[in-house]
Amino acid sequence: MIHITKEAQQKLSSIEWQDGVLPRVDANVTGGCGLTINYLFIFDQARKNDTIYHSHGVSIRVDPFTKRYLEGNPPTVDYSDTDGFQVINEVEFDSC
Amino acid sequence: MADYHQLIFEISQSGRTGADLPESDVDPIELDEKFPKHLLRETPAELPEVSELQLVRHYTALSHKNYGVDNGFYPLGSCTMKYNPKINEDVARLEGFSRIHPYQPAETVQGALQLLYELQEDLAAISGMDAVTLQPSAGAQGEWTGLMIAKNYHQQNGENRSKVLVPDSAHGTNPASAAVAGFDTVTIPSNENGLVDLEALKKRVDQDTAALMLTNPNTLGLFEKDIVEIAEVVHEAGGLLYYDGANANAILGKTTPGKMGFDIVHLNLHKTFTTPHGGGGPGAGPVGVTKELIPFLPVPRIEKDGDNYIWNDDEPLSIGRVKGYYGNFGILARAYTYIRTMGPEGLRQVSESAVLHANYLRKRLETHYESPYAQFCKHEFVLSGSKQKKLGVRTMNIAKRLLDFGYHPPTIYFPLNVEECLMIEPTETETKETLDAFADSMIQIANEVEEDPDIVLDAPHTTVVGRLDETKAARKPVLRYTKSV
Repeated sequence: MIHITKEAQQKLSSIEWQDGVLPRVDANVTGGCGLTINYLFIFDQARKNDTIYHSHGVSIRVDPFTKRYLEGNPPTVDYSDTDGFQVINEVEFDSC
Repeated sequence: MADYHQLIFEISQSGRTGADLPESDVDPIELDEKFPKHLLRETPAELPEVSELQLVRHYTALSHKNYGVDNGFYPLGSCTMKYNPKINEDVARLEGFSRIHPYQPAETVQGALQLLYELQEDLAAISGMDAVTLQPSAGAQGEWTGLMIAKNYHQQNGENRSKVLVPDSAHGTNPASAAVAGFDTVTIPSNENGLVDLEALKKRVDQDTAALMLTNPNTLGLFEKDIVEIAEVVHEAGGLLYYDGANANAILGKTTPGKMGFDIVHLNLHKTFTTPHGGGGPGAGPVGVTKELIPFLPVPRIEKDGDNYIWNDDEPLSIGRVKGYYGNFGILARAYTYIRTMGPEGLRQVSESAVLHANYLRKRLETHYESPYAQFCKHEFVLSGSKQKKLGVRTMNIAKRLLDFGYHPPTIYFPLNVEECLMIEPTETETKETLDAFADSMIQIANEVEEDPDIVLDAPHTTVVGRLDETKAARKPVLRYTKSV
């Protein structure tokens, strides 16, 4: 469901996790008329009905809303020192 | 009657017709003798073949799938989806209006020109401007027209000002219109109260500022109470103040953009003045200006010469014509009818009721949804779905669930500075029963998010088409009917 690049794996394995905090792939909707969904990689507390994906020794949360958009479109989590974590998978659609 | 929910191509039967044509009494021609071969079809067009009754039922079924204010509640924020009185339609269809031609000599269409002239005067009074053009055919075209007037005004003064300031809560058309008019846009942040950050504005206004575009009340439904000081800051730097009239439904007869210090105004007749709205038009976005900008208005202008109404093309500083003929006349006739049937007191009541309705709904919903600006609003208000987001449900799901209750959802995810935003504009034309029913539905959805979120996540359940796969539609759009074998 979620691919993680080697660079992202290395960075995630070096992080000391605080209580209850885990990484999350999160669909972020912006727009108004034409809506864009882009995926954020954030670190936060659990939400109700989260699904937890285990990939390369890393646990990543996804909420029910995000999960539906990821089905059939697995994202890739990448990391670079310049851009930080990035989720490669963007959707744009027009709701007008 | 399931057939009538199919495409007309799917109910087509070879050889079936809806009309019998008489035998041709002219000799047939060979197409390839008259047209280049590469322009001729190689395969039949496969046009649908249906009976007259099938055709009528098909398009009647399609029309029933439309949703508009005549069907139900439509609280689309900043869009002012209010009821269109049917008397407007009667007036627009009067033969003296509907059967005239734009090229008729002015002396043969004096009634139509009188309507246009008086509408200009009425809109000037409502907006506090000195003159109005009715030419622009939509709000965005009104914005562009207003900005071209500003550009030409500055150039006439020997200045090439390049920047237009736009608040971060502005409609997306504002920066788009500024870009099309050849300006660079500078964003002004909102402060913690959702209003223009005056200090940030002061830092960004300079001698290169052509105009500040402002919506008041803004897209959060909040009145920019510092508007007089904002106007002073912009004017002191030599800039102009542009009023985006999208939210004018909150101020009719209460105040005017002119009193606030604006120099240029566009009004959306299809929002504030009840002309039909949605579906791509036609609309109308008249522009009003203060007296020093009158020479730059589009031509031709309608003027009164004694007892006669005339076209005036002779304005050398005009930005020129921005619309063929003179605007969307039928729409202008509808707006004129609305203004004249309501009268000044009626228009004032419109705004008072619109504001009352918005505040009533806001109070009913603010304990169930996050209210980021919990204060008196004008004609619309915003809620945030941030509380529901923590439970795994998003504003988009709430909007889709509202379809099950028979409502058009509010504007969502706009303005951009509110997380998981719902922007709700009930308008003045709804009853308390409708507002209560909508509030009850919103509260039920909030409860469902806590108790049974799947019912919200799986919505809509009652529509002809259920939850669409937007991702697939975006990535692999099917834009053409293909006959199944």
